[in-house]
This record gives sequence, structure tokens and C-alpha cells, in this order.
Amino acid sequence: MHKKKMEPERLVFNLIAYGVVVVLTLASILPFLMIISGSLSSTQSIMKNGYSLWVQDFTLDAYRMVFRFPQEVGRSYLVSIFVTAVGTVLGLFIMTMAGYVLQRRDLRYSGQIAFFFYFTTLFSGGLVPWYMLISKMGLKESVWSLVFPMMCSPFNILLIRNFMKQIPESLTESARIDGAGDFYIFRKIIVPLSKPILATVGLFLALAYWNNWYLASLFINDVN
Amino acid sequence: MKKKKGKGRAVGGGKGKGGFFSEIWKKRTLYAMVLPAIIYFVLFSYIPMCGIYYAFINYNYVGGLFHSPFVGLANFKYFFHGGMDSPVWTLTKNTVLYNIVFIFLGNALQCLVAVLLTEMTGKFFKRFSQSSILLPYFVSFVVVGTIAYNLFNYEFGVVNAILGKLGLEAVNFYSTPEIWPFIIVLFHLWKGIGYGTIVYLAAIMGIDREIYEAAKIDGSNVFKEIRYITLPLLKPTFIMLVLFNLGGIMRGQFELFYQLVGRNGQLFPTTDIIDTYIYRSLTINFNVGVSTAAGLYQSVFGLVIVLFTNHMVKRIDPDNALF
Repeated sequence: MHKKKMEPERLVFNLIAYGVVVVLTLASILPFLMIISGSLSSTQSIMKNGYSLWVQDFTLDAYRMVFRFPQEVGRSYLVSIFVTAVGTVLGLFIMTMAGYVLQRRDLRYSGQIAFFFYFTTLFSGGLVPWYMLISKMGLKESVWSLVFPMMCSPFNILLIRNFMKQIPESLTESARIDGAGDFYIFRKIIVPLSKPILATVGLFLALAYWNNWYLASLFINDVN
Repeated sequence: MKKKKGKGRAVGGGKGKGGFFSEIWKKRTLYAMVLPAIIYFVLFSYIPMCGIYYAFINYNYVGGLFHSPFVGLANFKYFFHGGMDSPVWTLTKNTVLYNIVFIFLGNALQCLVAVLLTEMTGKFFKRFSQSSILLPYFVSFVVVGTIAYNLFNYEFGVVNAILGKLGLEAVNFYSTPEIWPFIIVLFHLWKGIGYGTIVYLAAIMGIDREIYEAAKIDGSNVFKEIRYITLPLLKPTFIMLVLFNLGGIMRGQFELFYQLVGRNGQLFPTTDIIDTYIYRSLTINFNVGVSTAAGLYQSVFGLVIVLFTNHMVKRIDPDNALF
């Protein structure tokens, strides 16, 4: 076990590294501090002195306003939670099945199906036809217009497929010899082994749903 | 055990390509499992492709699709007219330039920060800063727009307050188009560095420690290690990420631009990208024909670029090509 001698170059390096990283860290944290302190400052002080890092004239008025009509805020949160939960679960389910099927080596058309998915990332009909389709499907103003359009993405399917490729085929083989059906193999063997990638994809899917504003601005115009 | 579902054909035969139906039937569970995804993309990606037809008509809201007259390339003419002043030129220029800066500057910075973070001493601070830098990635663009407003607002913004204290004149950011390319790039980097750094960190983890040990015995220092070991070994990852992102060069980060700029017309010459233009054409102007035409242009051009880039990469370094 060698002891790490601090060479002079390392000192210089540390100086540079710390310089860059500290700046980045500050840049990442300060805006949030600014927003937090802004939310706790009174409106008059903001109008007089502008936004600042420190709380001026501490007041909870802003929060009181937001929560004055708890039903509205509560309902919006419920919608967000519903959309995120349902969308993530459904999307994960469909995409994981697709990923599993695509990584099976014994499937003749897996390459074509993979290209079928991948092609949608290369070429698309554009915003307008997509918008028209979703409106015609009767999804406008419905909570499902916030769920369906984002459910599956080729990138995630490929991620899942690549992860599953690492699972040794011998496991599937031996299960098949024991007489298990494909969906059973999927359910009891592959899925538990794929937890890392499912967690990752699930996390990013949930994040995308939670932060999504675009779909709502397009399809929801009626407050109810 | 192979029961035919009533197609009445022999096992070896099939429609055209021998065995198509028998293959599907044999592995019917698997094909059934992938079916929902296929249906999804047919519905949400392939059917809209047929909607390209809208680009060639003058949409009649009263009569709908079937009463809209076919106008050929008129929508495209509108979109392309005006030479250098035409929407096409400004939008394409903005879209492509922003993406190029995002891709190269973003990747370079992420790579750099990853290298700095690995070689830095000080475990606690390393972890703390890594988490903080990742934080902006999780914030939605609506919040980013708010932060920008807090910073750049003419009357109350933090930046103008600081300028005022220094005795300088306040700047009206929201009326000055020239500054915004820098602001937008800054915010994009701010948001993306955390996530990208992790990717490069993972790549660095994959480098065998023994190489560094050997180099140390030969008397290298930190800078030499980075220059001759880490960076060259990261080259494949860097190239792969850049290429992958180049494919989407015609598509912009809609939310980033829309939340920061909104409908502020003064800023459009330097900040409007194809996506925001299409969005506005549709939701504000209700001009279905032009926005579809613009969208079609975007898709076709983007496809051409991807095919071209992939072809060039195949010539130079076949292993790194996408397909």
C-alpha cells in the first residue's frame, strides 16, 4: 500500500480542479438558493431591491397565496402524480417486453423490428400531424393525452435490450428445457435480473413525466 | 405440438417468404409481447408520417381535411421565400449552430469535468460537488425560465442589481437579441453537465488501473497521466457521443428555448429554432400548412444529415458508425 506523496504537479492540478469544480458547484446551487429566498421574501422588498440571495423581509405570504385554494394546487399535484405513476408503469411494462423480445437471438425478425423502432428517431411526420392525430383520437383535454404520447421511446428500448443481452442464455435455455413458457421466463427470471436497468429507465421516464409541460400546453386548455 | 391456427397451409409454406407465418406462430408469445410496442409506434410515429399531406394543402378549418384545396408547393414557397431573410435560413442557421455548440462544447466540458473529478483529492468534497452539479438536470425547464427571469429582469433581476451596485447601467436583457446565444448556451451547459459527466466518469472507471501504476513507476505526474492515458482512452466514448448527438442536429431542445424566450419577438432572430417556429405557427397562427411544411423540411434534412454523417464515419472508422 503506497502512501500518496503530494508532488508539486498534483498541487497545481488540485488548484485547477478545485477552481473549476467549485465554480460549477456554486453555479448549480446558487440559483436554487435564490429561488428559495425569493419565495420567502416580501413582494415590496423584491420590488425595491430586486431578487437576491438572502431572504429580505421574511414572510410566508407567497406560500399562503399558493395554498389559499388548496383544491387547485392539490388537484394539479394529483394529476402530476397520476400521470407520472401510470405513464412510468405502463411505459416500462411495454418497453421491457419489447426489449426482451429484441434481445432473443432465436427470433428471425428481431432485426427488422429493431429497425422499425429506430427509424422513428430518424424521420418523423412532424409536430402537426402528430397533434392532429392525438386530437382526432379524442384525447384532447383528457388526462391520457399526458400519458400516451410519451410512453415509449426507442432509445430506452435499446438500452433495455442491450442490458438484457448480458444475461446468459443458458438460464433461458435451462428454463425452457424444464418446460417454462416464454412469458413465464420473462416474468420470473429476466425481469428480476434486470432490476438495475429497469430502475434507471424507470427513473428517467418518471422524471420526464414529472417535468413535462409541453404536452399539457398542447392538449389541455380547459381548466377542468 | 404445432397446431396451425387455421391458415390451412403446410408448416414449411407461408405467404411468399417461406415460413413467415410458421415463425410467428411458433414464437407467438414473444411476438405478442412485442406487439404493444409495435402498435404504439404505428399509432404515434408512423401514422403521423402520413400527415405530411398537410404540407401540400391549405387547411380549411370549416371543412376539415377533405375540403382543403391542394396547393402544391405554395406552403414551401412561403417558407423558403426571401432568400437570406427567409424563415428557413435564420431557423436552420440557429438550429444547427446551437446544436453544434451544444454538442462539442458540452461534450468537451463534461469530459474535462469528469477527468478533474476523478483525479481530484478530497473524497467528501468530490461527492458533494458531483451531487450538486447533477442537481440542475432534474429541474424542469419551467423553473429554468423562472430562474432566468429572476436573473435578467430589467427592474428586479439579480444581474442588474449587481450592475447597479457597481455603478454600471442596467441592461435590458429581454430586448437585446445578441446576448441570448450566450445565455442559452450557458443554461444548456448548466443543465447538462451533471448528467454527461456521469457518462464520462463511467467510461473512466473502465480504464485499467494498472496502466496508471505502470506510468507512475516510469515517473509520470498527474498532467502527463491525463494527457497520455485518460484522454486518448476516452476518445472512443467522446466520438460515439458526439456522433449520436449529431444525428439530432435538426431537432432542438424545444423546452429550453421556449421557456427562456417565450413569445418575445425581439429575440427571435438569434434564438428561434425550427421547433419553436413550428410550435408557434401551429398554436398561435393556426397555420397548419406552413408548420407541416417546416416540419417536413426538418425531418427530411435531418435524415439526410444522419445518413451522410454515418456514411462519412463508415469511410473513416467503420467501427464507430451507427448502422
